[in-house]
Amino acid sequence: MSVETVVPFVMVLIAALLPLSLLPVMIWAERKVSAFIQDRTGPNRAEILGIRLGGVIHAIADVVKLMSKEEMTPARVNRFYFVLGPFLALFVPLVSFAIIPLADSLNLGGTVIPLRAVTLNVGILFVLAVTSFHVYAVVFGAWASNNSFTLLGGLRSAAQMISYELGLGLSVVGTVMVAQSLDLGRIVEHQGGTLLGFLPAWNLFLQPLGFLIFLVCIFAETNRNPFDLTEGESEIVGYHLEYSSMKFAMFFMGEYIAIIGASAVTATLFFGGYQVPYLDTDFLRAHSTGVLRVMLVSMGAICFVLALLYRRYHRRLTALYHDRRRNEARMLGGMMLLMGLAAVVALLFVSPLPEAGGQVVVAAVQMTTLLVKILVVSFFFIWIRWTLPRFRYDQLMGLGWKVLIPLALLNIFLTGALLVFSGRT
Amino acid sequence: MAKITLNGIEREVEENSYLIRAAARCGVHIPHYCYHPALKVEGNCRMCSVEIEGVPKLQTACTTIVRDGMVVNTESEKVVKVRSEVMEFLLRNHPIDCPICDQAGECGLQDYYMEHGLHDSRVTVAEKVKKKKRVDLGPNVVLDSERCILCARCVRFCKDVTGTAELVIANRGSHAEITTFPGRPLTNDYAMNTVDLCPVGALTSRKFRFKCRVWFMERAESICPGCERGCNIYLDRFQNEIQRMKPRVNPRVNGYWICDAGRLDIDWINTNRLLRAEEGGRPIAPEESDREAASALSKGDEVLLVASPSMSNENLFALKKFSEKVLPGSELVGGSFREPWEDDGILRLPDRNPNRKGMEAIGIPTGIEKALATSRGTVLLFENDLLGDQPHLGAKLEGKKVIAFASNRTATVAAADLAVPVTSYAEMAGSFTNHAGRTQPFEPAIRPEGEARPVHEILHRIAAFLGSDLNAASFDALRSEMLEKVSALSMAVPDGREAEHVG
Amino acid sequence: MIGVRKIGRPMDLKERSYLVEVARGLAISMAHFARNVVKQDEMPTIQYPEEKRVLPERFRGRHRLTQREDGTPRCVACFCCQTACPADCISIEATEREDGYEKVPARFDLNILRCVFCGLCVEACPCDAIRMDTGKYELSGDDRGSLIYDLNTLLKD
Repeated sequence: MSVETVVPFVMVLIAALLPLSLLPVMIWAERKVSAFIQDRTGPNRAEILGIRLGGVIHAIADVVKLMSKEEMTPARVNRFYFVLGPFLALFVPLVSFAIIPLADSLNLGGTVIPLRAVTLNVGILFVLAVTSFHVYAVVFGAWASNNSFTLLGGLRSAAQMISYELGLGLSVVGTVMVAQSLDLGRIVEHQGGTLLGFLPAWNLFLQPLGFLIFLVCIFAETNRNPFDLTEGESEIVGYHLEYSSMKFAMFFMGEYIAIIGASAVTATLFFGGYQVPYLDTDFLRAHSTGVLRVMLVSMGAICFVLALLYRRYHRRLTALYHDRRRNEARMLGGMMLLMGLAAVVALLFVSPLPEAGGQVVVAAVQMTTLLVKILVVSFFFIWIRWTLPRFRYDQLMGLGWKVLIPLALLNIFLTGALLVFSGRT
Repeated sequence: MAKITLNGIEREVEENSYLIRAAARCGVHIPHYCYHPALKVEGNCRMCSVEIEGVPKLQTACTTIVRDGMVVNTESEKVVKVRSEVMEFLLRNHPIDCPICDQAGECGLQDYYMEHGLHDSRVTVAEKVKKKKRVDLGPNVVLDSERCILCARCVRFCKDVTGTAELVIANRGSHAEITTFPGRPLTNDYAMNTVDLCPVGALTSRKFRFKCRVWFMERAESICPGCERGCNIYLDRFQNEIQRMKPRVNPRVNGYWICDAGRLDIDWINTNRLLRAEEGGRPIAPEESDREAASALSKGDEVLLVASPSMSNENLFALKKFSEKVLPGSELVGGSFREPWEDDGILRLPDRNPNRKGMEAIGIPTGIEKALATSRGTVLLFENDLLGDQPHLGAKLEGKKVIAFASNRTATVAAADLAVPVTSYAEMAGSFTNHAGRTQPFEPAIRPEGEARPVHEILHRIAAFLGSDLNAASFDALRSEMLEKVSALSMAVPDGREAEHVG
Repeated sequence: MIGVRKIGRPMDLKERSYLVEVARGLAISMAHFARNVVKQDEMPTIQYPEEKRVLPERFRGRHRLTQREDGTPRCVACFCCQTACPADCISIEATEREDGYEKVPARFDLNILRCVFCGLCVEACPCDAIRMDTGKYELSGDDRGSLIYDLNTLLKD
């Protein structure tokens, strides 16, 4: 098998598994960040052999709980659509990951291998199309539940999502105009290099108004605070009232995968995607051995710092607990120490890399960059949720139709005018 | 009529009446312990001292006869002071028993202390005179000598009302106490009225002792079903259970008293009840029992309905209507009677059935023996325990289909083909007509337990199954129809509650 | 008729764009987040089953029934606590005893599921027989029956 056939398979795997593996991290982060913002400690009880990882194990406990709960199906529901709703809710956000370029294309002796699962030259339209599919998940679930409250909730959220799709679509037009392409790969490539000599040439700086509108709309699209009227547990009944156990969990997980997907799209469109700031692909490839060394050094340093922190943590644990939980810090600290030592040893054996190896290392660096950007944007999602209160429904609609859409149109007009006057077209 | 000036207001009062009574009729309450309108005057507690113009010392209102032109002040400074000092005397040796005293909550000492005493005690608990506690005066009455204020109401009651004179005050001064003669305990049939009479917690009822605090209870006005006297009573309930029976004043019927036999006969209301309909011992749903009864009656067999003189007028009337309107061919007779007891010359009358006069007025004939002997088909027994009370009649039920409507589990219920639970008199509204033809209403004291319903409601439902409307589902409508049709049963208005003060 | 009065609260452009206030809010929540990440040790949270709060002296915990020197319950079944209880959680049955104390509780059931821990029963008791000074607040059970404390349970502490 040649590299050209293997790499797409690997990319498909990564595109499918990355969001799924980020899911428990997101759920953990949501709970822990919310706790810290509210001066609480957050989850810290669930453990496996004393290992708690600051509450990550709670995600496993949640999954076990949700899977072992009773699966309720109300009487006289439309079973097909009742099951299709949560399935779509989980599946649709996963799909949008397929077209995110994870790193710059490999160039192996003239053969160009794009590092993404699907290469589409209308990538951005695909993203918009797939995102709008999320409405179906909500409406199917709401209607199939055979409950007037869920139907009301479902219609309410359908109206919300459709309204904000307009703003969403219009806000990315500016980006497309700047990059002169609908292909996400081109859009990311266009964001390499610098602007005015000191800023990374991200669309964030080229399209500040477009970014702002996009950000607001993507919040509304993913039903996140301050636009989470879809759920609004405390005052209005949402579309997934009749769901329980794993079917509810699928809606729940779908929401977080949608956040991760939305973060990936945001990072790709406005934060330069896989581009490492100031260091473009050619520069990185030319210094691949050095890049590897820097990576190993920073990894080692991080591991040693963590090992030191764990040592401090160990003292607190032994004072508080008298069961196996007190050994957690020692075990994890030891692991960190070993990993740090491994990095140091690996550093000693680094020799100049061949061309292909260098490209793979650079791809890894760019993927890491993208991952970091995704995580930062996801953190922003969480951060916003625990800062802002919820909109009223009329405010929500007013903002979408009367503010965001005119502003997006204005942004298109301004971008076009600038492009024309600067003679770029 | 005599004219007196009472607290500055001129009043017309009955001549030759005691001042305390005359004042009470004017709405002026003069505090007292020993005075009781039904007992002879003694004047030993001194609580009713009042100031009378022209008389240098305070006079006891319970011993003073009103005179025309008398000027009386019951609230003057001097009177108030004396009252408070009398209270202090009465409480001098009174123990700190309120937490365990059954009288607490309806106690004359507590009430008047809060109203007229309010002094701080000048004696310590150790200085108080100790006397006998928990003395069994008789089978039903327990005495606590320490709590006694020696008002002698109980002594006078036994001497004057029952004429048995078992109680006496022995010893002198602080050591005086109520006691019985050796070998002659307080066994008369009205002994428990002394518990009601006692204004403090000295005499308590053996049966009610420590059972329930009085402030938890709510009372309903009822009629004693023990004999044809129809004594007026209160039924005190707590947690849907009858806790005790107390006399209700009615000078036309029972005065201030009831007999002990009637008073103690309340346990059957709370125990051994038939709670669900049973078909041959197997519990069935109410609708099912109605259907069963209806199908037994619709077979066209000869039907004998046996009413009871223990049933209320309204139930008897509904039953009469049922036999005439729904089952035209049936025979209705007045059923078994409880064995008579002897007339004791005070309240008890021989016939132990509370509503024989009502049954007669409604027109239900007697003659159960003949009817049972000739009947062939179904027999409906209403509140009759033929097998238990009159086995010679019960034996005639052999081989017949028996439907028993009963409140309690009796021998008849156990043997019946179908047993239907009905309410006792404590759980429903109704009326009894006593020996003198006085029809007295009673009200429900507790909610029915289980699925028991009044007889008229059950008859209404069965009639509905048989395709006719008995119009007996609503009690009020039934009663007004009965009063319209049977003029002899017009309701007597209870009277004479004016003298219920303390205890 | 109910009238509606509109209260005008005109907002200028800065307020209407929300952006400034959103940024301020984000700054506040980030300040909390950062402080708690860096200084986890100083968080006020008590790690409950391992760490326990120091109870104030007059803390009203689970009830107990006190005893006399001879070991009999002080309670004389006066029903004052049952009368005072606003939650109706105490139910007493009185009985008579021959050995000196006239009235004693035959049953004393305290339904802790209903109790609102107001302490009125303690105030009402004329014999200092019921107290809430055990300092026990971990009141849970596997079934409702085990949370209705009877005379012996209440006398034990």
